[in-house]
Amino acid sequence: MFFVPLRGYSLGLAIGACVVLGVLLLFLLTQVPHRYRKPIIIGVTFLFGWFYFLEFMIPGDRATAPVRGILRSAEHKLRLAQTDLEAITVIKGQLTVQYVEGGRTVKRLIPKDELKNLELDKGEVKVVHEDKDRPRLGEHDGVRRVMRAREIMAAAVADLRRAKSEIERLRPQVQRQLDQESKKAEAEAKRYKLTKEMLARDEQGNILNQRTKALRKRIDDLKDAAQKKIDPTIATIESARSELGNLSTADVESIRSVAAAKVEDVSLARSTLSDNFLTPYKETASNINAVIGSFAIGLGVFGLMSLHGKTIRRRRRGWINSLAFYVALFAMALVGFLQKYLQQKSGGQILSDALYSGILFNGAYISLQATMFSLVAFYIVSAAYRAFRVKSREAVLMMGAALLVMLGLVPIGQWMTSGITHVGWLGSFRLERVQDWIMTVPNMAAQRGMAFGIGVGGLAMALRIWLSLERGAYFDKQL
Amino acid sequence: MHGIGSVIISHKEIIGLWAGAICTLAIFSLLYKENPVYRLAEHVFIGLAMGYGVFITWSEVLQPKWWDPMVNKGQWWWALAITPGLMYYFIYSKHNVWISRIILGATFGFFSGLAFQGFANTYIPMVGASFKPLAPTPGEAGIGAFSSVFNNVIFVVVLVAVMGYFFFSIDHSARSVRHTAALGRWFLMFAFGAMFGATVMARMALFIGRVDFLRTDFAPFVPAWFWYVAIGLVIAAVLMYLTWPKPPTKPEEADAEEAAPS
Amino acid sequence: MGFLTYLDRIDRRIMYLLLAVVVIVPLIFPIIRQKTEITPEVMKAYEAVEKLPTKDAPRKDYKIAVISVFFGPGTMAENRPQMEALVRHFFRRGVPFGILPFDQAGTTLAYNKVDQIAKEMNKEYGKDWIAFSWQPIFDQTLQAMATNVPRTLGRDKRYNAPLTDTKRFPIMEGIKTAGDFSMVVEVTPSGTVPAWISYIGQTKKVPIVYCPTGVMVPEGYNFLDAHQIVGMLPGLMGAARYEAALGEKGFATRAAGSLSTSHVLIIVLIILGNIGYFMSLRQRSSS
Repeated sequence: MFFVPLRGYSLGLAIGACVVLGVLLLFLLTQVPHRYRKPIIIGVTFLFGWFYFLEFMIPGDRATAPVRGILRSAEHKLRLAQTDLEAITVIKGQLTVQYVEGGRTVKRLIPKDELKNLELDKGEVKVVHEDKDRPRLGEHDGVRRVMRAREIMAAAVADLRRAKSEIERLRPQVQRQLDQESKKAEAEAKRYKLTKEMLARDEQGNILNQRTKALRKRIDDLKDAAQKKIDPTIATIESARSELGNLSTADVESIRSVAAAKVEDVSLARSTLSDNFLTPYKETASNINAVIGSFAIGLGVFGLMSLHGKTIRRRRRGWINSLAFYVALFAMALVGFLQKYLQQKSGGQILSDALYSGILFNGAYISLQATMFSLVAFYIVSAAYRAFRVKSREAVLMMGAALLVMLGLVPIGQWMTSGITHVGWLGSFRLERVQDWIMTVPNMAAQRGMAFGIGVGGLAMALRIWLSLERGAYFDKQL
Repeated sequence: MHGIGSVIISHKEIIGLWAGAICTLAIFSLLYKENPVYRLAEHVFIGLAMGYGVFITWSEVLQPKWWDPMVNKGQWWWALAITPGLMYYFIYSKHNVWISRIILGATFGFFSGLAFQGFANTYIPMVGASFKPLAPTPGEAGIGAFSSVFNNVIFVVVLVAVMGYFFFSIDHSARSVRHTAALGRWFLMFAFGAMFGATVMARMALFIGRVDFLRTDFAPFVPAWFWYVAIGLVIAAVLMYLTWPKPPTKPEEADAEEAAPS
Repeated sequence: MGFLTYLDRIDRRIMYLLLAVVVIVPLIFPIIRQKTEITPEVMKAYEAVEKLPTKDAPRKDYKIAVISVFFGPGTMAENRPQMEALVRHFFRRGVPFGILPFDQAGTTLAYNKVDQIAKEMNKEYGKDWIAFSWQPIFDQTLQAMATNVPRTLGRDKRYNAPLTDTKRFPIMEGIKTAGDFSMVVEVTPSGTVPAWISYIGQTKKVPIVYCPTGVMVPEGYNFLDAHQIVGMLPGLMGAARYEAALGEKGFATRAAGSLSTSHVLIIVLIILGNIGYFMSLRQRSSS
């Protein structure tokens, strides 16, 4: 009941009281003896990290634990069915296409995924006949996998039905809790004589307390999981399972993608029900951090203004540039505020909008920043020229990879190997395919190795900072 | 609106384009050599960026998330945010700089706490995805099976070698570890070459963007006579530079020049 | 041989001039007409967008896509064409989307561009698309969106009106949490996609399309292989390939010729530099 929105004089008084309290706190902090300063910083650092750490580690509400367990089992079964279906090879259908080349009509059989590239090469391409994809089921293994996938899907559907009936059992329980909390909140509102107007102003539910808000969200989440995720999943998996029964015409690939999509839906339902009591406060924490962090903009402004101010005062070399800095700073800030806060469509607003959007921002600022970055293109040319010397075998390997990637990325590289056919294993030697292979296989593996190193290093660093174990010039500074 | 104001309003796009083109060429003048025009443009850029930052921080963050709720919606408790916000400014105080460390510590703590969740959700799935089949899966045959096995073997070998290189806490005296790390270094050089290739494309694109701005957005608004005058001026400047008498570098050289028989 | 030894001492200003010439000439005279091949990662992104629900989808399936804008004027030459290609595809299919800016200047850059495309394609603000206001703190905004999108993002950019006003913004009706996003498109020059994967992709199962600048492309294949992103537009060439898939010719397609010639110039200069280096070594060892 403390955080009630106020109006008029009481609002002014409350704000004033907060400011006075803040000044008092800052004054008290200046009086803290030196030996207590580091423990205070360590404690604050730890507490603020504790919120997000707890929010991640604490499991969801105990009442929904059985539902989450059943959904986890259903998700696991659907993944097994998906794995079985993925192991079945699909014989890709082909297309018979027709196009005009060099004045004569050409008819060809091509793989389906080559159609787009052929259209780019030859222009208008007509599809005369399409062979559909079909699963290789003739061997014993393929048939066995389909039968097993059907059984697993049936078991998953049984699990989902159990999860749904568990949710139906839980909802009235949570509804009863919500009704009790709402009655308590109404009684408190009467006791504190809160008007309808005050309740309407309270967007964050501070008056009708956070508990009713959390309970209302839990009911919504349960309803969402049951109606939006579980019901459609049951219906789709049942239909996919019955299609699998008709082995000769089964479209294994589409059933495979259905299983993959439904696995994600079940997983999403489970993660929604995993919210714990801290989860609703994440949004508030984010807003608080955004506001407090934004106050730091003044640090950059004061720093630059004092540096350039000294240059102007002492008339050092280049003081005209520092003056230009001041002019640009005040012009941009002033014009920006005027165009936003003057009365819409008034003369002043239109002029300041023209100055801001037409000249200062779109004209000067964008061009200056983009050009600053584009200077790097020139530096990279001279750096590559000077630094890429073949002094060792590793340098040769590095240069070779760089040349292949640079050429494979651009049309001129495509042109160099355009004589090699797209189709078949020979097509893998086209420069753009080689570049793609380099990026997706060896480079990706090396990047993953580096990523693991960076990830573990980052986690270790985060832990050291959170527990204030980090050493260095900043952290060891005398307080 | 009369006078210069109305000129600005009615021609804002053209004035903006000219401002953009002048700023672009001023920055590019650095490529020849350091000069006062570039310095001026650089300082103007810093001023504009700072002014824009101040305006955007107020209008998009502080006003909607702090001022409006506090003053217009009666949420007086937002006034408590002023104190931690002002703590940053104790960095300028000689004796009480530690107070700024409190709020910085809070920020570090927040982001450190987030790092655990980030690690779990980013890297755990990558670990799972790194276990690739090294033999053809049942039902796979032919060239498709060969290429997927080949790629997976390369992937695993490269990954293990690179990770072997990064294990600095293990003693590299054993031959197997030493050779694995050496192989990892080779693969890393290959990856750096690929990264360089991609980086070149990125940087070139930025310059191409600027040239495209000058050609597509700016050039149509430039009258034809301007180009003839500009080309003439550039040729004149080059000729003058080539023929300008160079000043003597040392006093002895100047004397020697004067004393030398003509 | 004397001349060859000078090859490793070419003045940098001559190299800059050569670069300017090889970039400007193909832009003015489009001499390179090679058609752009669509690579698998770009095709995957295209197909993922083709499967998104449109604004006419039944209420229970209604979702919006989100384009996360992290770029500023420094990298707009690469990132903006990527964003533009995807925006055109969204508009063409009728997929409702919102622009979510995390960069101060990118807010206005992205908004102006999408507004221009929307006017061209007759699309309405508030119904077909929306621009959210700039969000200064990245990680925590993503965390908070997992539970409440309208409250976290606050207001829109154009009218500064609350996003809960569904009469003004029908696009936001039914959008409560990040689970109501049909797709996230991350257009960024920095390594910010792990945060999207971690807080939204993995937890809310939202497909992510990654649009990095060339520098971040090698890292992006990592996420593609782990199925943490559904597709990628690698740099400016990725944008050109996407434009080819759409059958359009934007800035990226025009720039492909200049990219080719500039890459060839760098390769030639590297080769010349090495020839000069070896000749100098030989001369030094013979003298």
